[in-house]
Amino acid sequence: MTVEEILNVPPFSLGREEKQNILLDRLLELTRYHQEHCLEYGKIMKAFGWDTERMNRLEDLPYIPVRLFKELELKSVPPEEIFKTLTSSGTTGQQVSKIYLNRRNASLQQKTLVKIVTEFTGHQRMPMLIIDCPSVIKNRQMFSARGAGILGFSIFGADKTYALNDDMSLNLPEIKSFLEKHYGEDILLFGFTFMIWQHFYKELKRMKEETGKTLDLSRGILIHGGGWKKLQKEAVSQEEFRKCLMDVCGLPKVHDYYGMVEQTGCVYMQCEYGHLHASLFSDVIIRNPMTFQPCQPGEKGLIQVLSILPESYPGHSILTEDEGVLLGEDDCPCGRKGKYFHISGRIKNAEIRGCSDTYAAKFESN
Amino acid sequence: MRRSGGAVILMQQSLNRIEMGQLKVLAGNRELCLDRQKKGAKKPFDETVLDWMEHVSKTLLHLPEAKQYPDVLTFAFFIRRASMEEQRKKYGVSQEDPHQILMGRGLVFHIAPSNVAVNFAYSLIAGMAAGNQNIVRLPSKEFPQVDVICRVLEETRECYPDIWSRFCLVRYPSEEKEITDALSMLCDVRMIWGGNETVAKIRESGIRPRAAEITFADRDSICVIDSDYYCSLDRKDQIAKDFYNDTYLSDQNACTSPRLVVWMGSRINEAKEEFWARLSGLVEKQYEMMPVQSMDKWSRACLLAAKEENVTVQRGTDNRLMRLELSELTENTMNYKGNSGYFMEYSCKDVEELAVISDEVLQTVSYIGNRECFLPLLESGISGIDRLVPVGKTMDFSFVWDGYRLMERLTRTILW
Repeated sequence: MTVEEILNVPPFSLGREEKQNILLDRLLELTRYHQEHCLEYGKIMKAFGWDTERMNRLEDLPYIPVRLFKELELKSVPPEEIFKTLTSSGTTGQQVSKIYLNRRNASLQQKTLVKIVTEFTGHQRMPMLIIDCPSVIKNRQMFSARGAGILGFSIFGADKTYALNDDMSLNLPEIKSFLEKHYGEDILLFGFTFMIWQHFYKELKRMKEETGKTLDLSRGILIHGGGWKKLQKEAVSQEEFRKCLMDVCGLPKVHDYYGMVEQTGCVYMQCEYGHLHASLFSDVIIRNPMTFQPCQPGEKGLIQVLSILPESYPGHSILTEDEGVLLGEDDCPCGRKGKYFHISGRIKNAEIRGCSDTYAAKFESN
Repeated sequence: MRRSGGAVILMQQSLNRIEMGQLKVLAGNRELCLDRQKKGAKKPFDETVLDWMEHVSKTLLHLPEAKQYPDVLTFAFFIRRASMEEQRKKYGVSQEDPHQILMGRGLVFHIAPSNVAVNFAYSLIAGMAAGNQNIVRLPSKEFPQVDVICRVLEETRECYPDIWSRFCLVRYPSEEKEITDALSMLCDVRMIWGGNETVAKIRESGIRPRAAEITFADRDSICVIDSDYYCSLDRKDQIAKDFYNDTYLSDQNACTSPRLVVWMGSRINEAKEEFWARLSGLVEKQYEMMPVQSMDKWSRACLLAAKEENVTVQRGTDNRLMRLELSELTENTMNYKGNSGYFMEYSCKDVEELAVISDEVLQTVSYIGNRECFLPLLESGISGIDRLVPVGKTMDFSFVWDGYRLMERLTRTILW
């Protein structure tokens, strides 16, 4: 199947066998393509003795460490075709990933994101409240994965409104007028996990304690991402995060997502049961850190991510520096097919990476 | 000679800071940090100093808690009288002319490396043996070994008050440049261990015009194995242990740990198979590695493969042993070094090929084979290689280190 054909299949509709066949064909095709078109990738495959003829399962595909996108300029198309370069967020002094996209790749990413996210939000565009400050997409210095994430998810919303001022204080008048205007409608909220906790939840909690007043977000659906590192330090669990938001503003639906700039578009959304799901367009393999052999479900290991999208750069199979656990496949009570898993966090001592974590790091040092 | 006003102010600052508790004395005589001492020097290998070392050695060897630290025990053995006599004979300064007197230079200020626990103690011993007074800045990272040794040294105040008054072991935050300034201005020799960055940082603090400096910069090391010699050996398991101690024991992070293994001779394939299989057996039993180390090695391997030509990656049973076969040595080779069990490998026809990588960064060559074959290379004028030692001996400290004859650097010669 071509990518376009695959993208037309509902993202959580196929069981293991069908999915594996489709993915393996596509990913082998990508592996061969990058082997021929990206000099460095070809050399790495040769050095490790990776031979596409002997790859019969997804687990056999080559995987390159995510750090390579910081150290090398990996691309599989001529430079003049590059239309956009994505970079990861990084605190000062850290190297950032550089992801080279041509037009086609960028548009595939956009389409894929829509296919996946609308499975959770529905196809209707909703009024959107962004839990961040307006300058995050204006200020070029701040414009990184955080800004890109907001822009990416903005396609799902209408009447986009920022909930925070540029000094990260709560913009209450703006939020109130937004909520009055859209009274009775479903509302989409989007932001980065730590930002929501620090500047949205904590403020609302204070407001509730001091004045007894709360916001009514009972028709809201929140999508948040960027990692739990900082919140883990504050010992906030996912359940608590959900419960706390419910308490201060009655928010009923909260979906975390896992994604990275190296595989933009292929996000892993959290279902109603708190599980992150791989769509038909991507997959995860958990590997034992010592042997790099695939782990059994329930066993913690390094997360390898696969994506059918990367054509302009060799990022279709990447070993991340995150650890996680495979929970199951095809049998999540939410009814979605495919693997579902849990993220335990970044491996110890690795650089802080990911979207809002840069901000978290800055916050930590203050 | 008059001191410059600046130095006086700095010393005053150091005094204040000490009173403020920024500088913590863990053992020895704090007076050393306060002002320049007169008549501080002794002759090298002074009898009382050697007695004191023997005493410290015995105390450490009998201390139950020291037994759990092999590095502390090795140090205790090093400072025994017999061992010091050997150091004096082999690595001291010979004095054939009766009209030359050797004396310590005065006060040595040591900056110990932050990542190796016991190194500070060797540095102190070198300074003491040469006849100096010593201020040692201890590693900022806390190691139990440091505490054990400091306690024993402090206890010598009772029985060796005179020797005790000749050293001061301190700890202070490395950002406190004023303290470094003040202590640097006091010393006659400054000895900086570890890392180009540390050397550059410490050099921001001046020393007095006649003061000397010994710096230990970033260095790399390699191992050379003669395959014919190796295949003929019976003690291959011992060799594996020795190599393990040279590398895995310090996560292959010591400057003396081989990063590259060079093979020579006619039975290379056979020797490689034997050597790595035995090492792999040990690694499986003894070595523990964090996921981040595994990721780091994998990333380095990919980077090397992507940047250089014709690299082949080999793994043991898992990521704890990774080998990178190179098709050529270049001046960049050592830049691709890794740690935690990450070995570049190269098959070489002639030992002279090593000249390419033998720039000033190359420190220790450990070998399995006949050392005579290295002589032409060592004498060829290359700027690297300061030590050639058998496998298993890379960590053994001696009073000639990094190419410096320490007893010469830490003393002065009086002609009469």
